[in-house]
Amino acid sequence: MAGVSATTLSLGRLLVPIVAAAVVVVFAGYTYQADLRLVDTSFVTGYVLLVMMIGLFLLRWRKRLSMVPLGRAAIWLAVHLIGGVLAVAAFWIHTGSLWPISVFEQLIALLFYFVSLSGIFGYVIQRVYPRRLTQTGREIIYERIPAAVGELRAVAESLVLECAEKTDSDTLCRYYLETFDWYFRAPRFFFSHATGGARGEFWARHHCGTVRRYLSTGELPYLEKLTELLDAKNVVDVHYAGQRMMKVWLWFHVPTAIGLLILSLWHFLVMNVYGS
Amino acid sequence: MSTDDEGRVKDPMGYDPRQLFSTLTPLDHDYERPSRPYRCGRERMWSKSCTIGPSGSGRCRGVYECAPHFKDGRHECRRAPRAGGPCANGPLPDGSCSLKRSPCVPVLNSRAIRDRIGALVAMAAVALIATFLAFGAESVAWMSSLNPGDLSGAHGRFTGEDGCSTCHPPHKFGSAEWLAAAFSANPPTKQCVTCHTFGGPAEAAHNTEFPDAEGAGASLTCVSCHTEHKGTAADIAGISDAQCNKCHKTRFVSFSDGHPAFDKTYPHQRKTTLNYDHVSHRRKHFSDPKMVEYAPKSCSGCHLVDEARRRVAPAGFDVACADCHGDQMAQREMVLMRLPEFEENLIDAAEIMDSCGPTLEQFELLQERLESYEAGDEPEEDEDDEEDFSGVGDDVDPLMAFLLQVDQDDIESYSEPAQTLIEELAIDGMAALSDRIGEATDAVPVAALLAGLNPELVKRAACAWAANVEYEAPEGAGFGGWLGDFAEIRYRPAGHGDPVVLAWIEYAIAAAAVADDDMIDQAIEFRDGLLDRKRGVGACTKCHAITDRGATDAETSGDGIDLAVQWTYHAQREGGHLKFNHAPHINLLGRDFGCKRCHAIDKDADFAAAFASHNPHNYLSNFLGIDVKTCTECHAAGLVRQDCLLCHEYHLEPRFKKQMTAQDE
Amino acid sequence: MAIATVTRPQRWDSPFGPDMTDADVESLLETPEIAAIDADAFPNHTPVSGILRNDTRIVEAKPGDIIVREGDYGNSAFLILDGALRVVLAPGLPANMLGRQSVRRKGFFEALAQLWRNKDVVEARDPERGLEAGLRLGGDPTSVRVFLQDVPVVLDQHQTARLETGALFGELAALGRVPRTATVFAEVDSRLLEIRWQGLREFRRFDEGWRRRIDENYRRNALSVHLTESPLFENLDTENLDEVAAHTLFETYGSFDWHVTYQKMRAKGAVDAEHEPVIAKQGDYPDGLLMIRAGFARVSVNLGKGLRTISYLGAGDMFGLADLYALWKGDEERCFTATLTAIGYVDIIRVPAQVLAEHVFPDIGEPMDAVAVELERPLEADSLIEWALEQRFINGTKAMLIDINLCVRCDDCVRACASTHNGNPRFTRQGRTFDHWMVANACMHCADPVCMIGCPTGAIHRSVDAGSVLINDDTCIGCGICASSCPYGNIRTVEINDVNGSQLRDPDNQRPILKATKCDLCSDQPGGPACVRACPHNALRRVDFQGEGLSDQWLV
Repeated sequence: MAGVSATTLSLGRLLVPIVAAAVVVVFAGYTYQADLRLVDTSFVTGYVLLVMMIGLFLLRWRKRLSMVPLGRAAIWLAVHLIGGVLAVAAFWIHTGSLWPISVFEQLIALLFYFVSLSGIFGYVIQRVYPRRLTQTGREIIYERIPAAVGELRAVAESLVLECAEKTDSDTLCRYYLETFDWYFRAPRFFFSHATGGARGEFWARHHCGTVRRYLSTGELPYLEKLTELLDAKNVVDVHYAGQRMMKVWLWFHVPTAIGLLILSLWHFLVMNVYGS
Repeated sequence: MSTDDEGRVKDPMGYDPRQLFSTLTPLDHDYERPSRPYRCGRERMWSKSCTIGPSGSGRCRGVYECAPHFKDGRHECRRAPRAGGPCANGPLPDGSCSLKRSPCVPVLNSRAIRDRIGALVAMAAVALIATFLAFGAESVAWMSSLNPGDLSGAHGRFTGEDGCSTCHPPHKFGSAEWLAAAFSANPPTKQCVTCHTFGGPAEAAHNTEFPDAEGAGASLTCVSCHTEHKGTAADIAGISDAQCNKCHKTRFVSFSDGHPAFDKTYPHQRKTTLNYDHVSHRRKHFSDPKMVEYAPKSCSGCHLVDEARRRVAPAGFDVACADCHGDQMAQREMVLMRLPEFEENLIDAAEIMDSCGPTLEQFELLQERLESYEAGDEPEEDEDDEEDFSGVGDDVDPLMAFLLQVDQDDIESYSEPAQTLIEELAIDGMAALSDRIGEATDAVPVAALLAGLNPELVKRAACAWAANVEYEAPEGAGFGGWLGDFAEIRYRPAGHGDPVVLAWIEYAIAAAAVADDDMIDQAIEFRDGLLDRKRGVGACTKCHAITDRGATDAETSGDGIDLAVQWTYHAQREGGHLKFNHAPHINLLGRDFGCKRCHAIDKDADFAAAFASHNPHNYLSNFLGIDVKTCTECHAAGLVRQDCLLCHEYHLEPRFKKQMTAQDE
Repeated sequence: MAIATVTRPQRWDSPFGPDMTDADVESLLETPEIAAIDADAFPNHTPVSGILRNDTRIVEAKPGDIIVREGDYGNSAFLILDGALRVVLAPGLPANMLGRQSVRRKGFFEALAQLWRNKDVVEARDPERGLEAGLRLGGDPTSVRVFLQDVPVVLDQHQTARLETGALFGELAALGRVPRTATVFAEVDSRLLEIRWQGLREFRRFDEGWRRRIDENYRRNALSVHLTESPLFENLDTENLDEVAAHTLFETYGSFDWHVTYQKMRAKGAVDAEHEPVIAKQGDYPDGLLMIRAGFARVSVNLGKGLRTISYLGAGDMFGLADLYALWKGDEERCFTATLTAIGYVDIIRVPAQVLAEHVFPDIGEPMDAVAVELERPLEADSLIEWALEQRFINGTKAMLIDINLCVRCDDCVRACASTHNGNPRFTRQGRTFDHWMVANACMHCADPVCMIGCPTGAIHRSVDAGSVLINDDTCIGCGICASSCPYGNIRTVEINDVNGSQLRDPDNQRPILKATKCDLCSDQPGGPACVRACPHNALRRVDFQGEGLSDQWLV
């Protein structure tokens, strides 16, 4: 593993797109030539496309069959990605257009494009978000986020109560109720975090700055602690946004793929009955 | 984080938020179990889940935090250490846990939600197919999952009651057969040919058998090219140049780049139907001061440029030719019968007398005799009757020779049959003639041949001849074009297109074609007389070309038996795979002088020579051949269309079947 | 003999055998092996009686009881007070007899069947499942024993040697921190004195007789083998090798139970070279070659006000060779060019310089100066090593390393793990991070598996073939010793349920039955660890911190 040099790696990385592009060119060339010979290629390209879509769909089953050695999932995903791009090419070769005529076929095309675009979207966010999460410097498991939010909320509430009790001043307490209470109830600023913004951080800093001038020296340590909690909450929010995006895009990609496959199989059947 | 009984954190200032992200000690947390579909419902409120968690089927199990243990008369809390260990209050006296909560509604994890959406989408997809099926392919066609798109305009109207099954028989099958049809071939081509028909096998390339073609068109079906269901406005009849190039071994880039040269004489490969010499007319006649007023000013003077299609037909004799040639037809008469010279009189004068009455001569003789009888004179015997019996001509006319099957100039041969004919004509009338005409061939009705011929004329002429006198027609006795004149019955054509002349020429050609060896010489003599350019009746063949249908190419002429006169201009459409339309060219280049752009006079061509022969392949046009370059001046890349289909037609004689066109009525 | 009362050393806060009475100590002092000890040689704060009282305990063994198991790690030695034991000579007893799991890999379809056979219930166990080995329960977890059910058959079928009263065994494993080399079981009812490693170390340090006895035993049994395994000595003939062995010194550094104190040290931020026992110091005169026999040692050099760690050494590594060679070659000024400190516990063999000069240096070329080479590296590259040392990840041979720049947090690895473990994951996808690397909470299958110290039944063990650390669920009694020993928190005790989801409880006290669980590297599955296979982004791999070094492997 350690012996792989940088040059072979980059060559290996180039090899796959080159081979994939070659496959597309050969396939498109074949269909073009067959079309010139007045051979009906729509069945051949259709079968190829269907087999490809089933192949792409198998990734889902590979994930369920992780107990048996079916090759590394990384290879499956790489094949899935390349296959996905090839499938778009195959789709265009098969339909010969960007948008079909009949309502039913338009529905298939719509699903196909939706699956393809959501796949590209998913690929992009899966490349971008992990680094962004890494850069928070902290890690939290998605399933533990509710507990973390709950814990921060409990600590924050106890903190401002203690502040009120110990300092005989309810400034921080009241301000908490006006602002931070909302913040600690749930993950916030989802959109900002999902798009890489820093609104949460800015919001917290702004509100700490606002209240700071009204606090006595006795209260200031509590605000410092609260700032720590806000900072932790912000990290939790970033993780929530990132990890949730990386889960939720699949809500669109996978179910649509199921629908696409069913409609495609029907299309396959009808074409075999009504075509030749 | 430790909390008191009210849930307040005991030492918030001592709390280190970093612990949220640190590796938690094993006692704090159980394994995360992402493969379990349900999670504690408290997470919905963004709180820590209970330590027990929901069951696999999504039932809350966290109502009680522990199941207390009864030991030595008292209940002991058994709360798990990671849930906080034994609680402060301990179990209730009845042994139940004191920390009772209302049950939560467990939430699904992300993956389980995705699976549910997937199941929903799958059901929706199946329902959609079913719904789309429910909308029949006919009633709400655009909704049907069976309909891949509207039919093109033409086909859309012809499905009728049969609907989809017009082209797709499985459509009307039951579901089992329908499914089975998926595994058998049922190409729509079979249905195409219920309406369409071609000049050759429907599935052969170009509807033509190419025994030598290598694999080309081996598995062609109609849908190889004509893919339907592409919308009402779709052109489903296209074929690209590249597709043509695939099979055709002569490959080239485009019409303007590499198209094989046209034949040298293209498009003047076949002899024209008219022997019209453009060169001599232009050079000689149109400049003749006498004629110049009749001469056309341009091509459109004679050619019907407004009706131009593949051909630009001449306007016809009356418009184009009659001014100069209008009187020429009548000058060429046809002899129907001529009284030849006889050596002896075989005619029974008495019977003739009975039938015809006396001739003027006889009448005068009789009157003379009667007068002399009344005067008491003895009549003189006519002594040199026989020496005087003679016709005007020296031999039989060709028609008579043919009809009587006699040698035209052998007096021994014709003497008796000719006199018999005359005798019969004189006694029985015209039937004697028409029967003989009909006997030779019935290709042309006798009525048409003898239209306008007054039987009385024939009878009187015959009577006269029988009586050995010259027939003198009464003044103004020109019925139709038929003339009786001394020793002849002739036909004078009325003008261009005279039907009797037409009939006789066709008769002569037909008669020659069917004549047996005994008759062939007379038949050909008769026919060639009529077809003679210089002397033939009506001067038809002066202009109308004669075609020897037996000729197969320029070298191989026929036997001269199977002839045809080209009465009409070439038909507009003659099939084949080539098409050309003059109309747009004329529109573009101009109706008067645009023709010259392509059609250049070849003043040196020996145009007339070709018409000496009857071989239609033997032809020299007095127009130069058109070169590809002439076309490519306009039909080239970036200019006017130049694809194959512009000039070539894929199918051979595409037609509709009658049964199909009858449906419209 | 009066027992001196002294300020009790801290380490005696928790005596080894809490039930030891004065009478017991008195009677022990009568036994010949103890009586031979020169009590005066011991310092006042560590008297012999104190050692006996706090660092030993008396073990009663019934026929068939297994005292030590081949392959186990133990921190104590045994002195036979009475009775007779049998040591099983090679080949050893089969794994199931020792209370271990005999791992059999599933076939493809058997593995596939887990798809539907895996239980919907968390931590489901079959309560009816019998133990293959006999289990003798005692009052507390540490006295639970696995016993051989049919001693005569074992004696009949295996080659054994008899250990009589007065025999000392297990001391090499206890001091050297190496696995037990043989299984010993009781042939008849026996009494044994179990001496934990602290006591043993004191006996060896202060009593000439014990030292000789232990060292001779070590020289005889292990040292020659150990030396010949080193390339430096492999060409020596037997005579010279014995000569070298005779002059070789043994030393131990650090705490045997380092994992117990490690967490505290971490909390105090005291996990660095400055706080570790020094074995050799930069700038000191090199008097001998230091060979690591067990444990880990840190190599560092002075930098600014601190020490820069440049590498770490494990079993089989050597320190100071280049320095000694340079000195031998005539570089009079040459000193140790780096400092060697003990990480946790280190067992050292010191080969004196003159022995090397006599037997080794004439026959070898100039050795590579590893310190000089490693100093070439940029300082930044060392931060990874510093971190791995600080976290003690150097111990891992199959640590789960996740590149969190690639990880999309899909949990496919956890699900794959659950799919191969009856629906239960065996790790948590969380752990300490450095840069974009995370070492997840999965068993690292340590080179020095401290979790195995103290398992009363031997349920946690190393598999013979692959060397993975496994827990036999059948013999695990849920005592949690391994879980609390693991410095990385990678072993979890779980409450188990029957297949219907009812919690299994001890009928006596209604407490849940616990089982220790952890990653077993899918040793019963075809195709190796499912987690690695399942990662769609190549983010997860199992790395050997012992192997080819850190950065090389990681940065692939």
